[in-house]
Amino acid sequence: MPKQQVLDPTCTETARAPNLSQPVRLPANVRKFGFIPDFGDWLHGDLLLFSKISRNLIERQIVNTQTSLGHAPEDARWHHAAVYIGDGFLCEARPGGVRYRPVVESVDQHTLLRVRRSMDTNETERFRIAIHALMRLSRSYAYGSVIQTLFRPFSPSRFALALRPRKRALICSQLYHDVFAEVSGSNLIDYVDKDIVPAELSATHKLQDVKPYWIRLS
Amino acid sequence: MAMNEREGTVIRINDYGLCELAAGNRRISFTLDKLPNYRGEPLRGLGLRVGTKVAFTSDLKGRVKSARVLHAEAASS
Repeated sequence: MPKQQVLDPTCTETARAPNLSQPVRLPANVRKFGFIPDFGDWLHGDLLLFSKISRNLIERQIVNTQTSLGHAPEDARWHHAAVYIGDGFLCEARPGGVRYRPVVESVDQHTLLRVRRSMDTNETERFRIAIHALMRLSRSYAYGSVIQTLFRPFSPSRFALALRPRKRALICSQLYHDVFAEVSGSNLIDYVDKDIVPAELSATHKLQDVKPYWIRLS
Repeated sequence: MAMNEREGTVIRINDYGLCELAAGNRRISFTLDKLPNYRGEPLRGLGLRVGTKVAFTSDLKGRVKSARVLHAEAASS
């Protein structure tokens, strides 16, 4: 299995020189950290995976559940997924709904980041992946699906019945899975018994890692 | 039935015309434009909903080339 290409805040030795295309307004914690991701190698439609180094309760539970479902630790650690839109912005499903915001709000000295891409998609398809994600802005967040997945290792059928997800609601990995299938006609997760969770998007061989770099703030 | 036609059961349809099937243990997805003569009809009119049987043909990469609804009358009743 190829080694994961991770943007790690503890490894900034290979950071690139300051670049004029960096965002003008940065959150205080990012300015204090002194590095931002280099978006130059990223393409719209790329998958972004996030893993906090110090996780909150929900993030810990997602990682624990993914581990319980049999994922390797290097895949189970990714607890959030988003679609890269371009110009340093992403589209994601979070509690509160689907939204569009700068990547730098999600990447700081406490976050690992991974960028993945299907090499079978062309420029038009990648553009359409970004557009299809933006078409879902303001859609509600599928709390039911999250709770159902979190408790799946303990009681598979009971929670599936009790917490039927709302049809129009989304979770982060479902957002990327759906827009990719709509545009490319193929699934990233081939088996129906596998949950659509960030760990599956990390493990799939249909996506390849793009090596991410930091930019040192001037 | 065409030689490489397979069958699956609808497990999910989203608002953007993505239909997900279970064919054995495989997850198969297609968009409604793969239904011959589809002209934007509502799903109810097509008889397409969770549980509906669908026959489909796919290419070597597993992408659906065409799909047709089976037992539409039973599913819509």
